[in-house]
Amino acid sequence: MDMFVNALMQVFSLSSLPLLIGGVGLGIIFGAIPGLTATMAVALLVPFTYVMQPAQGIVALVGVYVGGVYGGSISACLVNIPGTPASMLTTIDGYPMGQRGEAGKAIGYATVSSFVGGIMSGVILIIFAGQVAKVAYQFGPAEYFGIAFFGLTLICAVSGENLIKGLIAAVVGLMIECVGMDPVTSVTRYVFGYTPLLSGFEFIPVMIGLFGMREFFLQISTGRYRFQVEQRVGKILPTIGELLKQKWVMLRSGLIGTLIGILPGAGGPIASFLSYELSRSTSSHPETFGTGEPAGLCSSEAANNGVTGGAIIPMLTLGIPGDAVTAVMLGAFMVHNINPGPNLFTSSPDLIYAIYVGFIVANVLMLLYGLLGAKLFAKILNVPMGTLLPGVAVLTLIGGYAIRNSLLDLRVVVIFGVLGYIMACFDFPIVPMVLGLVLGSLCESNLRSALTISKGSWLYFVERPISLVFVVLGLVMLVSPILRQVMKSRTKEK
Amino acid sequence: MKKWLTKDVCSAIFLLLFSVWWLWGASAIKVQSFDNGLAADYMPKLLGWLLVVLSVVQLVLGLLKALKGEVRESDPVPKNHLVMLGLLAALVAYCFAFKPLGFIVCTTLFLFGTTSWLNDPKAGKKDVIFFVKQLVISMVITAMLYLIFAVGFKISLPTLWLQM
Repeated sequence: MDMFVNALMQVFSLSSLPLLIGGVGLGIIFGAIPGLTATMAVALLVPFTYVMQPAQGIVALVGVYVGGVYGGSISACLVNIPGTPASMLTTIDGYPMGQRGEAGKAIGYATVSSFVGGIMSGVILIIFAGQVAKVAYQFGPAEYFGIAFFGLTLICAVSGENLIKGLIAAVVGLMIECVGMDPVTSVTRYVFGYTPLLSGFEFIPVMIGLFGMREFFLQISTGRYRFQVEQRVGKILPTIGELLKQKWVMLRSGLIGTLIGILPGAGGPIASFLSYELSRSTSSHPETFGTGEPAGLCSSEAANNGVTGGAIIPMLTLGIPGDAVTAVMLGAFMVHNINPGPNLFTSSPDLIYAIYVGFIVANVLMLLYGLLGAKLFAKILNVPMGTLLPGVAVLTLIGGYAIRNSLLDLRVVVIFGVLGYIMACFDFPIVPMVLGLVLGSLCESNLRSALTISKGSWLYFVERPISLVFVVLGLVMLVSPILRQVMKSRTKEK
Repeated sequence: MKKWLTKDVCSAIFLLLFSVWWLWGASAIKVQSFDNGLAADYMPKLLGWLLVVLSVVQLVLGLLKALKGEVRESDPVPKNHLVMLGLLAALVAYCFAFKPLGFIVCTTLFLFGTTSWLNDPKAGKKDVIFFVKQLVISMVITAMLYLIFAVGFKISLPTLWLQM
């Protein structure tokens, strides 16, 4: 209880609260602008958390995350363009509502259902994260290798139909992680006498390049800089009666979103899709879905905000990101030399509780922003993209530079931005590469430590039950897409 | 372009060449013996061979698809590469001018150049008023960024007058 009170005092302190308010607002702005995502906003802000207390910085990023996922619904309802991939399903019913003059009401539904989904996932986060951490506390190098191996095989889940390309992207991510000094023997690898590379590629500039600069290039090359729209938002709040009609849809979708969020690699789009389909198939009037049905809008929004709390659980308890945003958020922990995982619950319980409280407060702020300031956020869409995009490019560059005032990092941002852009041109997914980068060092160092303990015996990984479970789960993840493909082709033949 | 030379095939060939280079780099790593564990070159070599295998699989699949005529050569990124390359050149110039010119001058010039290029004036013609407006916008954005990061977050950004 004391921890909660301390966390409340910390989050509501004069130095933290403005950062959280700003974080949620910034997240909504990034989410609302098509092309700028919550991942990009978090990637850009991670370096600036360096000058903050760990709890302040990470809680501010949680605010950006919550705001960013919600913000996607604004452009989805107003201009039929999902601000974030997770709000893709929101356009189906949100935009038709806007078309019949109920844009304000659509944003109101989106705001309240995002809030319900977010709060639900927050409660589950608070109840279950500690329990998962208690189990994970017993882990040694073999178990950590098992987790890292399992995390890497999640690439199969996030690669979609491009399994080979996903695996290639992950291998390239692991290769990038190899550059610099070997973590065990300090032997240099791929440095070629260039001393700034001794410490390897700094994670944050690489991440900013892959998510921030790459998006900038993609927006430019798709001609999005010509995008401009005028929209008016009228009355925001649906009536209490209208909202109560959707209460079960919101609660069910929030729960689905949270459960999907806990599964590393699944993420918002899948949660929205599942919830939307469930709402449609169980509705007494499914024909109204797609024509501006509030239940469709609410199920998509409650689910994608439900993902936020769910995705934080594996990040905090196991050090495995639940989605792309939490993968980038891990960088903020690295900036402060904090290793997420079960030990965090004993070494920095104050930080954990601050994240819990910050998450709930961020959702409340999101609700207030949405209900009071949606008209203002809608105006952001009026800013010419030709002005906004170069501003964002400068922001990404400062972000890369700020972490250690290095001109090399400035160039790393551009180089990895170009690499990300080329990958997009050749249909290579980016998230597996990030998983490779995040889990590469964890995988290598624990594999080597475990083999040192076991005197070189690989049986060590199957003799320990928890590591065996993760290794088997990982193998199932690896084999399942191949089996699916075989079954598909057999069904076709029949 | 030859029919079989698809995006998948091109990228597979490049990755194959890259993996060969990577393996050559891995063989140059100075290995120290380490108690029963794995040496520093183990992971790079494993990754190099993995990439070789995956590139070959992609190459074969790509060729099979091309020969069967199953290739869907729709570019996920529409072609606006000229603007993209122009901006990339501007970004590279920004990186190199960042220290000598300082944040304020460099950022103002970058923003002025890019916003003038990317924005279309409402009047349809880029006249003096349009350029003055872009210059003012660039200066305001630069000043805001400087205040937020250098003053607010205490990040040390290079400035021309401090170097003189």
